[in-house]
Amino acid sequence: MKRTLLILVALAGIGIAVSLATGPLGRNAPGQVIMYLRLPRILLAITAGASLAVSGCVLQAVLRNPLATPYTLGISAGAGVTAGFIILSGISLPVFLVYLSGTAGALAASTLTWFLAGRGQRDPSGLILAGVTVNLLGASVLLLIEYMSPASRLVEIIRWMMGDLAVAGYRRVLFLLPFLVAGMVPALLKTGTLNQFLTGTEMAESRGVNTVRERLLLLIAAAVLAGGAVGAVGPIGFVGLIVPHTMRRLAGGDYRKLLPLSAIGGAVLMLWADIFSRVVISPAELPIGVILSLLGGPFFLYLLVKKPRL
Amino acid sequence: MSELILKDYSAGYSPGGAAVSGVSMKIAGGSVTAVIGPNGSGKSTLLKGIMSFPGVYGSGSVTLDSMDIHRMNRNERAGKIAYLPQFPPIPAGLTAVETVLLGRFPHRSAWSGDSPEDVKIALDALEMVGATHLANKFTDEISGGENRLVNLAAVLSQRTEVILLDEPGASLDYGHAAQLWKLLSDLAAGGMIILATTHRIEMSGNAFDRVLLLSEGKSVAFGEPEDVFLSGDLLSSVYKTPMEVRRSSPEGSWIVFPGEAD
Repeated sequence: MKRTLLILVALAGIGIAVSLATGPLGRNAPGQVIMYLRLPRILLAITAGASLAVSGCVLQAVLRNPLATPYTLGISAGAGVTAGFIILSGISLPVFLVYLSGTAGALAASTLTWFLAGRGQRDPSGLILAGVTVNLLGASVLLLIEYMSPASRLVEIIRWMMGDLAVAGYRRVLFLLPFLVAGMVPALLKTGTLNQFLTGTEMAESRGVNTVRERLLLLIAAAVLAGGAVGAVGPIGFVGLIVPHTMRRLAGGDYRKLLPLSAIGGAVLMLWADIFSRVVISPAELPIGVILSLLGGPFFLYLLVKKPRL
Repeated sequence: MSELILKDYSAGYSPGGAAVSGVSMKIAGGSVTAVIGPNGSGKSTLLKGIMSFPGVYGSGSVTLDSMDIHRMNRNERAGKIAYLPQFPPIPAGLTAVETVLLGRFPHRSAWSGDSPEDVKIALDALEMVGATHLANKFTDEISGGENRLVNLAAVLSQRTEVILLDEPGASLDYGHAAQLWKLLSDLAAGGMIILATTHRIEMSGNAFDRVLLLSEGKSVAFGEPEDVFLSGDLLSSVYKTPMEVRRSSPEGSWIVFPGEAD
């Protein structure tokens, strides 16, 4: 674990330095660009990446499914519908409310998933099926919204779905911070319980875990982490899938190590994906969601072929 | 010595819908009790009901040393009763010793590390089941039977007075099955209560002290193995096939001849 941690810290340090030094300055003072454009962007990448990775890591244990991601609970569909609706309607909202609407949609969708699955009383597979259903419903509604949208707003919706870290100032970071704390603290405190979920509901119960209550608590933590991140940066995929699996390969499946490493790994991946998104077609930017999807597709294939450890 | 008592106990998967009902028995510490019966007779449900798993509804009473175990909080119960399901998921990404250490969970906080004492208990448990050589192997890289031993070690590391096991011998070869039942017998000799479901009477040697026979969700017989196995054509009628059960010697292993008329 120590070696993995050292590598991650080194990658994070180099990534921060490279990110601070990358990009055009224009006619602005370098200090201003670093302080109000690049540094908040780095912080946003780190907080969103850690949130999405930990959310995926938690869900893979609680749902006992290696392919679970933050969006398994219908989070991206819910956020997409509310964001799409706001963009289509042209309502002008204060910026915090715009972020919050994505988060609210995400959390509403995951709540719907929870109720459709019989409030977690049954096998976790019920939650996965309910999540698939909510995702399909959300995708259908979003398609309808896109069909009804004029071209300019359609582009805006599609662009939102690709994720975005471009930021001026610290508003988005400040928005995400309470969700990060509210989700990360219970997740980190429950790593021993997450280990118990790996052995199934019955073994966990027999060792004193109130699986219904703990599953709900951990699902809320995962939904809050992912919902906050989606509200702040859009539905960026694959971080919650790639990072926990990679960390599991490097440091084993004990959640007391895996969860903190996934948080750091998520931050590092997002940081470097953001750097690539800025340099690949410089001076223009490639949406970070595109970079991560290009990574995520082959990684899914790897999961199918290699069947890595859960 | 501990005593587990079930009085008119029923369990099922919906309120009032019992999959197994009317079970009454008194099991003293220092004994191995086998729960036998055809598929669907309610063996696993009985164990799940005793454990109060979510989605399992029970009625009647289950007491351990006069304490109603369904009134105990989960942690208290986990300190007294351990359970091994029929097909526990393999906790992949963990080594065998890490998997065994999961059994120490009721004895420490949810996020604390493993103490040297926990590690010693886990290694001792692996040694007891003859799986020390697996300690540092990943559980998704060992066989089903080996995982069975590792999970049994995890249950032993919980250090409880009572162990409930659902088909503990499933997927074990002759050697490991004999070793398992000998181990359960030895644990019982130390004062523990062992309650195990099984389909393979002949794989267990002479490990049973008591037998509970279930049929179609009802308790048909409870008593010493001789009384249940050699009670006319009781087994034949329950399993709906001619069966003959003998002992290899007066104190020897039980041997089953299914499909043979007495």
